Amino acid sequence: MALARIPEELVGFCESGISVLLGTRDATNRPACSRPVGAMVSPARDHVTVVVPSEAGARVLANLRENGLAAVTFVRPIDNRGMQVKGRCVAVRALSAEEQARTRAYLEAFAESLHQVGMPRPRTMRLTIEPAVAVDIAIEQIFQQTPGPSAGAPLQSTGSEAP
Amino acid sequence: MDLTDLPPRCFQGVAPAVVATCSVDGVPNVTYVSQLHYLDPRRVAMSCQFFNKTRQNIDANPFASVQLYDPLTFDAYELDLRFDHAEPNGPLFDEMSMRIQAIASHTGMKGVFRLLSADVYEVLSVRKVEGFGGEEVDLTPFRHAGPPMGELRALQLVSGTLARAADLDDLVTSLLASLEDAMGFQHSMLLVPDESRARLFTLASRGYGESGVGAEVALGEGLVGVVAKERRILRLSDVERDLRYGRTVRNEVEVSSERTVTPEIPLPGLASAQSHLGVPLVVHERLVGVLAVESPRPLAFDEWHEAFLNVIANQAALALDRMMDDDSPAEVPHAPPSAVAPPSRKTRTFRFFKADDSVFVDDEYLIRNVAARILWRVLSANAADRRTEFTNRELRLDPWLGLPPVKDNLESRIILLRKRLEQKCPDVRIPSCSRGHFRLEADCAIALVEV
Repeated sequence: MALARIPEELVGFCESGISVLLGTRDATNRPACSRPVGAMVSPARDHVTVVVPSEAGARVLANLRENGLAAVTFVRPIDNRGMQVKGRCVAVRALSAEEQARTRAYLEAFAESLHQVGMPRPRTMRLTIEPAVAVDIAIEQIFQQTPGPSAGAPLQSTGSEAP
Repeated sequence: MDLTDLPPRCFQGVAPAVVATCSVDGVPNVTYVSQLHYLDPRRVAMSCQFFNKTRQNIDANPFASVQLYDPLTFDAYELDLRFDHAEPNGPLFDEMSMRIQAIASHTGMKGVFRLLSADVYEVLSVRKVEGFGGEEVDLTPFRHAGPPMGELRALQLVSGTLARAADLDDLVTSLLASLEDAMGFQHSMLLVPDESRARLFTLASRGYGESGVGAEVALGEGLVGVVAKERRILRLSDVERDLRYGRTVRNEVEVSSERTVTPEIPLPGLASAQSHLGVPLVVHERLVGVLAVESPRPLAFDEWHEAFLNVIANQAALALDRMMDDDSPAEVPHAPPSAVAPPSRKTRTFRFFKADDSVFVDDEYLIRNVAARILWRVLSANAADRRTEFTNRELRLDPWLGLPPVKDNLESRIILLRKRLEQKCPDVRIPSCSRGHFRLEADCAIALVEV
């Protein structure tokens, strides 16, 4: 399948310390989810890398190694704006030093996002971010995910700041 | 491990749960759950507001996996589920629908944003997600220790207050005071239906300053209005989050369709309320009021508060209902002469606007509808023949007031009038002399103008 690209104006949105959710399934189509601690969009915008804590994410990582199918949903807590990308895991690997630094920065930014909706920062800062692995996902489809009648529709790039 | 091992606060939606599903051809989907409802140790229900991908997947492949979070510790739990059935109506549907209705009506989306079905799932497994969060969190500050005097003593105190109340005014005022003394509820209000039974007005409030008394809400609108319409308890643990969700959907609806959404309804109560607990007062299937408490803190009320307030509400409903009807003074005591002070130089001008049944005092809005007509009757009688004593009974017989033949709410209207005068025109008072009987007192001259 041809790869889809995250619209340029949404790269910042995906990387801005908002909620990231990862969905997978096993060989019998039983689903499992996890909460990555960071997301990075590739320069060509056709891959996304999510950071998955090794212990909490053990089940989804096993699924990804088994069949590679992945869904990643991004939601901005303050206004519930969201999008979902679907694709295929092409690598589960160790984080680079730069990615480790970005993961720490993600957690700080995520704590700030949740603080805006009433979650005290120290509680968010409890989240385990290491040991973790980087999961590279080739993007095949992109959907709107903001709650409402259009949730689940293919994303139309509007040129606006958020989907 | 089963669901009973999870803290109940996990199901209050403060930290929203995540659900993964999978299509028959193996494509996973992941999203937030709007409402996850605990049914019993082996079953949960999920709200379905839109026929979205989650629901399409479930129809073809019934398995779902949910990650659920403790909002105080951010501990995570994983539930593997199998779809059992959808309930498009019935008691579970009504219970889950109520919160959505409250949010929808408050954000101007009544009927646009609604529950389609309560989807019931069997819980196949429950486990704590290891390695999700770091060190333990000290939960001491969040524990609801219950009332300092003990639970039974607190019930005894409030219940005794209800039993001793001399009249309706005393009942509602002392009820809210005792709820604060016994339970620490600092922000509370009691609303009763008006003559039309399509609206409620605030008969007593505590912790809202002047703005509380008289505030109105339509049946089915906003948090209190939905409690009144559905006659069910509504407990919201993170009002701001719920409203934010409602506003997001509202924007989406506005952008994506021609549907009309109406403006947001101002929430009666605390602007900063994060926790809201509304309990209906019902006697024989008839709504006699709504008791609501609020807190600026999220997660301020738990199951215990709900049960406590429900017991109190049941007793208050009976007392309130009895007092609404009761205007039988044994006899009318004779008035002390000249209860109305001789006119001083100060004059307060009351204007009655026939067009909309309202009374203004010195150009400031005072009151409207039945209470306005009662005031006008009383002031006119006093102007005509210096009368200062009035009984509920004579008002009931006065066709101009337009009271319904039964359950007429007269007493609650008099209380509302009394409180509005205290706030807006303390020179003129209508204190109660005995049950079903009140007196007009004035420290000023009164001018009457009909417009």
